[in-house]
Amino acid sequence: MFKMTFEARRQLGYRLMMTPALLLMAAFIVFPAFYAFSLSLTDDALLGFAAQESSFVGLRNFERLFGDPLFWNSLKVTLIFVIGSAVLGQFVLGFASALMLQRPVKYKSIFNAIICLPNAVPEMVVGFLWISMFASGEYGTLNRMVAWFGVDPQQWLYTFPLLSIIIVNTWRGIAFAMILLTSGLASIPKDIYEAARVDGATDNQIFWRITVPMMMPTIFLYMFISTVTTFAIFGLVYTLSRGGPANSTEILGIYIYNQSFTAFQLGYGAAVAVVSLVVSMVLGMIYVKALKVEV
Amino acid sequence: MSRINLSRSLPPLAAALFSMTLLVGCGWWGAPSDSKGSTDPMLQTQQKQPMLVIAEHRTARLQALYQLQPQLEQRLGIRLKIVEYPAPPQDYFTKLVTELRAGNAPDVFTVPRDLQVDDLAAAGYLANLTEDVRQWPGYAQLPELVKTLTRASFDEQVYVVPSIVAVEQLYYRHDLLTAAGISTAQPHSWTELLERSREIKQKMQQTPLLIPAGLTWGMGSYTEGFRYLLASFRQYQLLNHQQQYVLDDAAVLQSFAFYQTLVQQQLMPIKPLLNPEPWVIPKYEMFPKGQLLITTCGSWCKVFDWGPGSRNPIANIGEAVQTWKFPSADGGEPFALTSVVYAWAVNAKSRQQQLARKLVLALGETDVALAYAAKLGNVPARLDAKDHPDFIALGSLMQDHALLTQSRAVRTTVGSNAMMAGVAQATEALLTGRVDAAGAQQMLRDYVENVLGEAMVQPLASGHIHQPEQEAP
Repeated sequence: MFKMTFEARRQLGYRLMMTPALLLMAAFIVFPAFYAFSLSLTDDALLGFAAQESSFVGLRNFERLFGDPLFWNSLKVTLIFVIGSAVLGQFVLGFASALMLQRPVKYKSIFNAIICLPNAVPEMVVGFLWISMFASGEYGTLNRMVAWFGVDPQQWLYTFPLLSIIIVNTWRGIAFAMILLTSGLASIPKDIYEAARVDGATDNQIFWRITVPMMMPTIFLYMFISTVTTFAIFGLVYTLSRGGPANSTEILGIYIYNQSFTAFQLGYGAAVAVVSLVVSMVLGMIYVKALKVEV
Repeated sequence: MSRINLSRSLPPLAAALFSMTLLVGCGWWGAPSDSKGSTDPMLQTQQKQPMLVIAEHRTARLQALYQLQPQLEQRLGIRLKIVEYPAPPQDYFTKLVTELRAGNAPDVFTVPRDLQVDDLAAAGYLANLTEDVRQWPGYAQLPELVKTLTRASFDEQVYVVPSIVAVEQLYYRHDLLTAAGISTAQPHSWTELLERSREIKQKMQQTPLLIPAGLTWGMGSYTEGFRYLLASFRQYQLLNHQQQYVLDDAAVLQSFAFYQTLVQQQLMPIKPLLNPEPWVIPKYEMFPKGQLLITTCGSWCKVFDWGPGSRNPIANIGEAVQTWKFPSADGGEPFALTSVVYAWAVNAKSRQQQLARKLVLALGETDVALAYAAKLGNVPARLDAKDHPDFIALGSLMQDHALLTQSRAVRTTVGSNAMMAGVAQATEALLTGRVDAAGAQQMLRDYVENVLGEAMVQPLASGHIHQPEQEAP
């Protein structure tokens, strides 16, 4: 009779426990990705004759895509949005908050709650909330605030569209950055700091030569997660600007939606989604490689 | 401390849950009391009646339907389940189309604009109603133009039953132009309209004219803007005999050139048109304040946009805001434009085809149309509506109804969505100064050809787009 060793049983147990997660990933991530790729090779549409019977068009959608200036604009806008909000905005402010809250601060829990609140609000609600903030005319919240300093009412989402959505996404994402980076800071052994102080290191030296290098794995992990999730943002920007004015905030998510559900070209929309997936995967691989950083 | 023995307590717990599920599923426990075999004969009769699901959206339309629901149910011996859809036209249409594709759309719904009929019918979503309308007395009462707009261009079959139509013209501030000593006479040509606009800008220092354009206005850039300009060429047809789009024509170029002139001479509100909701500032703020003097619009504007119940009402609107017909581009008479809006259609996959067909015909009756028209500011599609005792309740809309037999329309074919998206892109490029009129025409042609394929666009006769000899207006 076949008898399993303890190690084999343990490995089987692990695999069985992973099965539900793997099945879900296969059903909701892997299969849709392959389906999107197969769709991108057709002229499938939600309207017209192609909706009844789509035909294989080979790489025509990709050919059209790479010749479409609106796609390149969308990719550029997405990269600026990701770098501006996730890499710079959320990281810098999140790291600063994490460092600040490491020190003994009065009412620390209140500050924590204030920073974490935006993350608890659903994406669409954040969009509507900031529409009210950015509203043009004298009744917009931000316009009322700048009026105290004698500034005329502005059309914020028209004049500074990309900056506006970067600010909103930064505001929303600080909490996640702070939580993750706080856990990273907590994992640095205290005796290293004490030894550095005994050796006469300044605060500046401690920060750049101990904190930052020791935090590198956490920083890269954060960068990886936030880059990939920001790349996939849709609802927030759709609510705020719908990609306008003049495509200035048309990130890839909006572009895919517009092609698939406003122009109703599923094949072309799927082609954009496939390219977007490839870009995300490339960025992900770069981060994964960087995560193996040695300290 | 007592411990729960999971291995012992799980089986009875699971058995109890399973029994409860069975009881609830069989309706023995937890079901509302009225479903346990009511003794009320009226309720029993109602429950036996078949139910049709109907999609409706926007407050005014929903109010009209809820008001009509009892009489429709009684007339047809059915129950109506009204499903409320998102209010913005684009959101409504997107939800409807995705549900139609998924096969779970309602039995009956409306098609927002006549130019969407072709695309929906070609996709196989709409039931063919040709035989039904042939036996329906109401069809004979529709103007020929409206009848044409209910048919799909590729097979000339009827797929929708019209109830109300929009009569679209130029709306202008009669009170303010008169006060400024500017003529309010009907402009007969584009040149005359442009001269009037320049005079307004010079004398009043305000924005003279709005013709919707740009990406964020979406399909409205075509339906509420570019289409009017195309319709002003009597000889131009958007489709040739092979049902291909004719986009290299001088009429298309001159229409873009008209936009270009408006942009270059700052006769149009450009910045607001690039906003996420581009209609809000010009139509709801500038026009009521007198900062915009002329705009394209339909009969609904006097009710919804600036009427007494609107957010920005214009005092004494009947006198203050008056209409001009669209001036012609080729020396013809000025004209009003008619569109079939929110025509009723039957889901091709409805399980209750016969009842659904009866329902859409009932929705095409005059009393239903009048109830909707009065709430929406549109006019009934049928000519015999004027003999109905409630017709007088339409007020000034009665004049718009009289224009039905003289108005024009622009017919499209399958792929109108691509046409509309192409116009939105091309006019946006004009607004931002990225291209000139010829560039916009090329952009539109390229886009439509890319999306629909070369076969759907008339090939260029000389290998390049037609350049008119005369200068743009």
